Amino acid sequence: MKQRLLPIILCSFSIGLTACTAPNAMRTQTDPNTGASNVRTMTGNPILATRIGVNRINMVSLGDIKKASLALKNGWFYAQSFEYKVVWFDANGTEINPEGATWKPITLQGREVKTVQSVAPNPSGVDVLIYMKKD
Amino acid sequence: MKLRTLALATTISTIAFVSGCTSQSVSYGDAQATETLTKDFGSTDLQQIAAKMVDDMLAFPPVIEMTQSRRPVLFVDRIKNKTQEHIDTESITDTIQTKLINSGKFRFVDMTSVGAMADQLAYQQQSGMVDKRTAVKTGSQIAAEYMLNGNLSSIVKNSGGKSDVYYKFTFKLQNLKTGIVEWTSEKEIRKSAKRSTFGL
Repeated sequence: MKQRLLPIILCSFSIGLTACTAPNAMRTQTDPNTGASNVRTMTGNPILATRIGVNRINMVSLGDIKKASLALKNGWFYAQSFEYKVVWFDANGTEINPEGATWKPITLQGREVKTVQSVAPNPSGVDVLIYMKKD
Repeated sequence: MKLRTLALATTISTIAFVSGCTSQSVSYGDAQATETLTKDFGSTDLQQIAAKMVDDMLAFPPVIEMTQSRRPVLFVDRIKNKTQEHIDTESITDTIQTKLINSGKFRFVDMTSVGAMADQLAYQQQSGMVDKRTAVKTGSQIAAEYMLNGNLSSIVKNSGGKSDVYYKFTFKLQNLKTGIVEWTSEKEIRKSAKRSTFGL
């Protein structure tokens, strides 16, 4: 009985650890015909989602280049430091400059909503994917 | 006899253990990950500064207007390092220049390679070794219209086991014809470090 329990405990423990470290990811999906953007969750880490999240994503055009404004929200009542990364995609869904997106540290006070912005690397960038993680 | 064997075995085990402790392990890391090994200027600071400067510049309305129908020619002057640290500021401007060129909005003349270009042109024109029909004609280089330059300063404070460093990077785009500063931006970074009591 004990031998059966051990793998179950180990599996639960590893799932628990993964849940803590896996980043949350949200991505915009722009319709090429209408230009309208939808936001969808790529990875929904339920534990991390209670701590940090994206309140809204706004996309504006600066000439032929797009700028994304992402409102990040601290879901807890005390200050938290975490990291985020914004990746840009072209209309075909291909990542632009795959090694160019860097993790950036950010600190939010309790229940604070802070807006971060990212400008597309070039005019081909239409959609963004934001990753958020906490080590 | 037994004692000697035991002593030999103990010595071998100790040597093996000690050499095991001093072995070095090497692994590749993520170059885009945040680096917080010390509070000194690091790769994350460089990446944050370059990203902020390029984003701000590309989003500034007069710059958008300026780059709407043409690609202005820029050159990068040096960044004045006013901090106490030795920082390779050319690495910051290189990253900014790379991002701006890849945006498709600007072109650059590289003043660091002017000497090498002059040498090569002189070799083509004057050495008698190069077929004149294939030699590059001089006097056709395009002049820069704008200059990029800036400052990097820091304020460091230490108290007891705590230390705090504040970096401020200022960057500006200046019109060479009029002397007007067309755009400027700042990036501030604060880093804190605390020394552990027992060095753990």
